[in-house]
Amino acid sequence: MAAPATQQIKIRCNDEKEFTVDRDVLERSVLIKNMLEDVTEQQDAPIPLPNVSGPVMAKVLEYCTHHRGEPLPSADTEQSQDETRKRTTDISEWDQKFITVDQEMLFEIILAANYLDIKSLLDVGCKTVANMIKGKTPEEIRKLFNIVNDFTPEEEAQIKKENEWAEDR
Amino acid sequence: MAITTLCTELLEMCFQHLSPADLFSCIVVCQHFTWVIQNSPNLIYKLEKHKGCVTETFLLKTEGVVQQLSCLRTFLKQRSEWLHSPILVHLVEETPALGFWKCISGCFVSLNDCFTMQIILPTAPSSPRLIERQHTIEGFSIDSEQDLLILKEHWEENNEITLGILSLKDGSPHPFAIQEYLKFDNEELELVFHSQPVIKDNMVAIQLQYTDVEDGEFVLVLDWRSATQLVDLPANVPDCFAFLSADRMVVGWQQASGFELRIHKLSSGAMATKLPFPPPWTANPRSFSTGVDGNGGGLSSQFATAFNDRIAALSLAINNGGDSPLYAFIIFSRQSLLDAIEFHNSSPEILWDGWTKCVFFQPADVDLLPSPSGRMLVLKVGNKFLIHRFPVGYFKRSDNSFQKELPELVGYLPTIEAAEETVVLNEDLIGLTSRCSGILYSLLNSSAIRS
Repeated sequence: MAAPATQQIKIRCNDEKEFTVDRDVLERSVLIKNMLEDVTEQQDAPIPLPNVSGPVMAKVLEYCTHHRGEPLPSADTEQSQDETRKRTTDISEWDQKFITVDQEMLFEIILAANYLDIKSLLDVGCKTVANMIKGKTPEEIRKLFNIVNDFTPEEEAQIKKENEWAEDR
Repeated sequence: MAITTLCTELLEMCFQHLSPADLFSCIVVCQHFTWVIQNSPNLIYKLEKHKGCVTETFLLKTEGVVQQLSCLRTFLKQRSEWLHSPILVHLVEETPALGFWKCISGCFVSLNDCFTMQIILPTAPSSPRLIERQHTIEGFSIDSEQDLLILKEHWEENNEITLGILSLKDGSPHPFAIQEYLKFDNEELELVFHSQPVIKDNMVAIQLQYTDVEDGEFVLVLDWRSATQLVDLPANVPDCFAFLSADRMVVGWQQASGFELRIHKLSSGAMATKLPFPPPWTANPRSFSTGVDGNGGGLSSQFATAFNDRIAALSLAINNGGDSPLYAFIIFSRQSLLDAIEFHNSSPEILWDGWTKCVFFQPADVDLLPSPSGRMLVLKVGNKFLIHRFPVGYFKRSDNSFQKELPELVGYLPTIEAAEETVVLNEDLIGLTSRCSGILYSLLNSSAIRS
């Protein structure tokens, strides 16, 4: 049985950069998948993606190509997946290597994954941020992300106090 | 591009993967992070759970109950605010004609915060029983986790007393209850009013009295789902009762000799332990003298109301022979009461050892109220409600000092003061919820009372 010829789809990013990609790769993105389903006729005009830049899209496509063919998480199992997602911050080896990027790119990928609705990639991004935070003190977290401490010392003490842990239970 | 440019939703997603310890680090990083965490029900729940503000029973729950909880969450979220346990709610408006509420307006009090919100209930309960006939609500208890509202209803027509088993959401009959209400034979039995139904899981405990027997009061434990009687505990004029766990119940009452506490094991139905009272250290001259003697020195209990899963507190008036008595709170942790069951026979002083605290205070105008959680103490001073939180280490066994400051004051209920002129607090309608939820106070419009 011959497989149907893979349809090629054109997309255009916000910096005018264009990609031509196999349809099944692009369909990792629920946003694009829905867009393609809405369009019945073959279109030559590229799909505009105004929220994603070329370099970020290249990275996202690398992810989608690697994971092509894997089942998409379905909507009705979302609840239980949320549960398991919360419990583990394990990231597969390939994903780990893939996501080893600078902070700027990491946040861009998270934003793009959120926009394009690629759950698994969003998850990898969020877990990576969580892993960066893990085990650090507030000061280390500020340093890591270049965050300015905008609390007065009183406010900080207050918040610390409010979140005191119970030891005697 | 920095982490702070991620929207709240995405930051929350990242924080979901963190342990409570890491969340605790994040909450003090910057105001944006604090905001994200404090406005996320999931993250706050995680922190609170870790802090122990969510009770054990909650954690042991089966799937079904979790589902109910998520219903409640949605329910509160839909009404713009969601707050984890523990909560206090004021009821500010009643529809007198129906005897049911139009609106629950709230002051929700968490351990950290105190703010107001409103839950609008349908103007009429969907049960025809409550619409067609004249009745008054004489008390109630809620358990928000079970979506349960138990009403103590008085039907004027035939002078009948019933317990209505309703859904907290809309006042309709509770879907899990076989019977819409529990009825008591008022030929022989009378519901006694000075206590509210106490709820724990499927159980509801109420106080009943045989009409023709003096002091014939007892505590009845019912299964509100199947409408069956589980246990009745003999107790002469119980002043207070509470579930300590699914199988233990503590009942306290005033006797001529002082105040007595008894812990019952529900599964066997038998009375378990009689706790020694007054405490042995009352003989200690450093605290106060005991026994009614020629000098007029003595100890009398006033109230023992602040009972819930976690703590029991007694308010005592101590007459030292002077003109003005000294007042004291004795606060038991649940652990001290459970220990007392285990070790009472071998060492009766264990109840008073370590896990129990006594606080002395001077003003007379202080009442204890049912506490919304094991980490809080609610006092009524005049028309003001004060909420004290037990600080970490308050019940540490190693600390043997009996005399402690009152727990830290975390807030008061502002709506009561604000509404003072138009609203009168009806103290008969103070409901105590089980588990972690809170207290429901009923405030009746003063004009409604006049008419």
